[in-house]
Amino acid sequence: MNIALVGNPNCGKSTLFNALTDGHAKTGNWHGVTVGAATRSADLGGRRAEVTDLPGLYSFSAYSLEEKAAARALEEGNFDLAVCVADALTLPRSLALAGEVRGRFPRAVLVVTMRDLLEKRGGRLDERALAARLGMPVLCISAHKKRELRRLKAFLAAELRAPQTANTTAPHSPAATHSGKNAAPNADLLAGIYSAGTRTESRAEKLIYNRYFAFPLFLFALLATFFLAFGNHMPGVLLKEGLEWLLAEKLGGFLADKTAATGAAAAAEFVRSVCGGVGSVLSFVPQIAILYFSLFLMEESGFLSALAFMTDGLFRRVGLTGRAAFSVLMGFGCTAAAILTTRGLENKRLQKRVILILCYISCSAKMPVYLAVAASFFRHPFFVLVCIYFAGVLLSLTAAFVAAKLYRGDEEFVMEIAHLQIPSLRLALKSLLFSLKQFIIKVATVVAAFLIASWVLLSFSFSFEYVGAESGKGILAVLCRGLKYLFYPMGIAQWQVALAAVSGLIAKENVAGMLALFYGADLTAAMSAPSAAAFIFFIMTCSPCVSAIAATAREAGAKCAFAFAAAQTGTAFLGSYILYALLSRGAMAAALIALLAAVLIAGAALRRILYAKICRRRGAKTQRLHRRALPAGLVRLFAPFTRPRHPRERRADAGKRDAFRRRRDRLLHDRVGRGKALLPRSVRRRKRADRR
Amino acid sequence: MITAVAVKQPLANRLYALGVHAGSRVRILRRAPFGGGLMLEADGVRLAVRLSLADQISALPAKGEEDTP
Repeated sequence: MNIALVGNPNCGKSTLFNALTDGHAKTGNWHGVTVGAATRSADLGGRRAEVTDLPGLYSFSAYSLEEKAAARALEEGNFDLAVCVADALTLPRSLALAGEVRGRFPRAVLVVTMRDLLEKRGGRLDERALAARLGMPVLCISAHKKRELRRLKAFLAAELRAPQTANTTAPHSPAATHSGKNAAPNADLLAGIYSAGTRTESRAEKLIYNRYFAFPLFLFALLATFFLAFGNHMPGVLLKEGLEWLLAEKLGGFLADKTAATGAAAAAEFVRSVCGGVGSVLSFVPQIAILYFSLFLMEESGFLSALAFMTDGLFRRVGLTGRAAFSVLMGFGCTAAAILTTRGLENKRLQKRVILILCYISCSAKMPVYLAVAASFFRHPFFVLVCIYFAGVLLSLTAAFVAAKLYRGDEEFVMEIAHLQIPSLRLALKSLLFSLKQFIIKVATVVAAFLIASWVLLSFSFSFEYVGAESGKGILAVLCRGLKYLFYPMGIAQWQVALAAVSGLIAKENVAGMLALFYGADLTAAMSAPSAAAFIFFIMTCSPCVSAIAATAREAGAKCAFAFAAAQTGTAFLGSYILYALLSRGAMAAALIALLAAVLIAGAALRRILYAKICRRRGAKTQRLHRRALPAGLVRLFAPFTRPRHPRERRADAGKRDAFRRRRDRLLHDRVGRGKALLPRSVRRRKRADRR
Repeated sequence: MITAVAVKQPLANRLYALGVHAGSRVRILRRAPFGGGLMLEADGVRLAVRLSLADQISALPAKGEEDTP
C-alpha cells in the first residue's frame, strides 16, 4: 500500500510523516522546508504502508523548483491513497488543491491539521458536513498530540481497509469552481460549516513584525546563542572542557597506558594521538548542540519566516530575495543541507547565486577549527567567533552582489508568512538528538578513519618501518613537503598545517582533528598571530567540503560546482595572503588604510562641491548624471588631438570623408542610377553603359 | 478590493493560489524596513510581496481601508 502526503507548503506534511513513520524528516515553520520526496514504511494499526512525504505545492501548475519536483513525483508515482493535508487556518484556499487531488487519484482523503490553533482563535469546522460536500473523508486533528495521532492512524487504516469505491461526483465540485475565475471559489463550499475565528495579532506577533524591533531582536538572539556557546564560563565552554578532558586525557591516556603496558610503544602512541584527535573534535558536541537548538527554535517558532519578510529589502539590493534568508540561516548548521533548501527558490539563476554565497556562511563543522585556533591566540574566543561569523555574512552579501552581475536577471518575490507558534520541546529535543547523533557518527567514521590513515602514513616510512610522527621521514611528510609553499605567503612554514587545511576538503572537522593530532591543544608552535588570522580567513572562505560540492553538483551541475569550488579556493588563498601581509606589517597596513580613508573622504567632498555647482544650490543630493562607463572619468583611454593637424593629415582625413560621402551618394542619390542601389534586384536598372 | 492583477503567468497563478486575484479583498498589514515589501492579508493568508510586484496589482479602497499602489 502506497500513501502520498500532498498539500500546500507548511501545512504539516512532514510533521505527520514523522509521526506516522517515526522518521526524522526535517520540519520547520516556514514554507519550503521539504525539498525532496522521502518514503518510509509505517505501521497503521497492524497494517504496513509505505508513506511518501512530498514537498508542498500550491497547485499542479507549479511555480518554484521544489513544487515542480512534487508535481512530477505525484504524476510518476503509483499511489493507492492520496492524503491531502490542509492547514485549518487557511482551509478555504487549500480546498482548490484538495479538489485537484481528488480528481487525479482513485482514493483521496483530507486531513486538516492545526485544529488547536483554530480552536484557540474561536473557529470551528464540521468534519462530517465537509466530507459530505467534498465527497471525500475528512479528519481534523492537531498533530502535536499523541491521542490525535492515534485517531489519524485508525482513520487511515480504516480508509485502506475500505473497499475501493468509484469516485462519486460531489454535489459541489471544487475543481469546477476553481476553473472559472470567479470571486470566491470555495466560499459556498464552506458556508455554514467552517469559521476561521477572529484573527487578532498577539503581542509577540506585533513585536516580531515591528520594523524597528525585529532586526535588533534577531541580532540579540544570535549574540545570545554565541555567548552561551563560546563565552568564557558559559555552559558551552564548561561542558566542552569537561568532555575534552574526559575523552582525550582520561580515556586516551588510560587506553594508551594499557597498550604501553603490553609492550607496544608504537601502538600506545597510535592510541594516544587518534584519541586526542577524535576526542578534541567530539568535545565540540555541547557547543554544536547549543547552535542547533537555537536554529531549531527560530525555525519552529516561525521567526525565520518573519525574518525573510524583513530582510527582503536588504537581499533585494544584492540581487536575492527574502527566501535566501532561510538558506543562509540553515548554512550556519550545515552547508550541504542548506544547498538542498535552495530548491525552494524561484528559479535556477537565483539558486546558483545563493549556492555560491553559502560557502561563506560558516557551517557548524568549521566552528571547531575557529575555536581551536582562536583559543590558542586570544583570551576571549567569544569576540573572535562573533567577528568571524559576521564577517562571513558580510562576505556572502558581497559575493551575492558580485554573483548578481554574473547571473543577471530581476527577481520577483512572493512568499507566504507562517503563523507564529510555540515550538514543542519534545520535538526540539528529538531533532536535536538526531542531529547530534549524525555528527557523532560522522566524527566516529569519516574523521576517525581519516586520522588513522594519516597517522599510519605519518609514522611509517616508505619501507614500512616505524619512524615516529616527529621524525619527518614518514610517507606523508615526504609527500606533503611541497604543500607548504602554497601557505608560505600566510606566514605558515610547516607542512602539517598545510595538510590540515587541505584535509578540510573531505570534512571540515578534519582540520581541527589534524591540528590536534600534530600539535595538541596549543597551536602557538604552528603559527604566529597574524598567520592564525590569515589561516582562519582561509578556512572561512575556501571551498566547502566534498558533500557540499556534491550537493552543488546535484543542484547546479558538475561544471558549476567545480567552477565555484575553484573560484572560492582561489579567492581564499589571495585574501589570506593579503590579510597576512597587512597584519604582519602593521605600520604599512595603518598607512594604507589611512590613505584609503583620506581618498574616500576627499572624493565624497569633491563630489558634493561638483553637484552643488551643477544644481546651483548647496547640499544638493548627489546623483549619477552619466551612465557609468569603464573609465568613469578617471582614466581616458584615448588622448584627444592636442596639436593642429598637419595639412597632409587634413588632406588624408578629407580623402576618407569624401570617399564615404561619395559612396553614400552613389547608393542613395545617384542621378543616373536614380538611387536604386538599395532596391531589390527585381527592380530594373539601366545598364552601366547607358549611364554616360 | 483588487481590480486587476497585471503580473506575468507563473507568478499570477501563484498569487491566485494565495488568494490574490481580481475581485478578492486584501488588507495591507505593514511595510518591511530597508525598502522591502508589503505584508498583505488575503482570506486568512498572510503574504510578503515585493514593492515592484505590488505596483502591478491595482486595487480600490473599500470602506476606509488603504489601497495598494
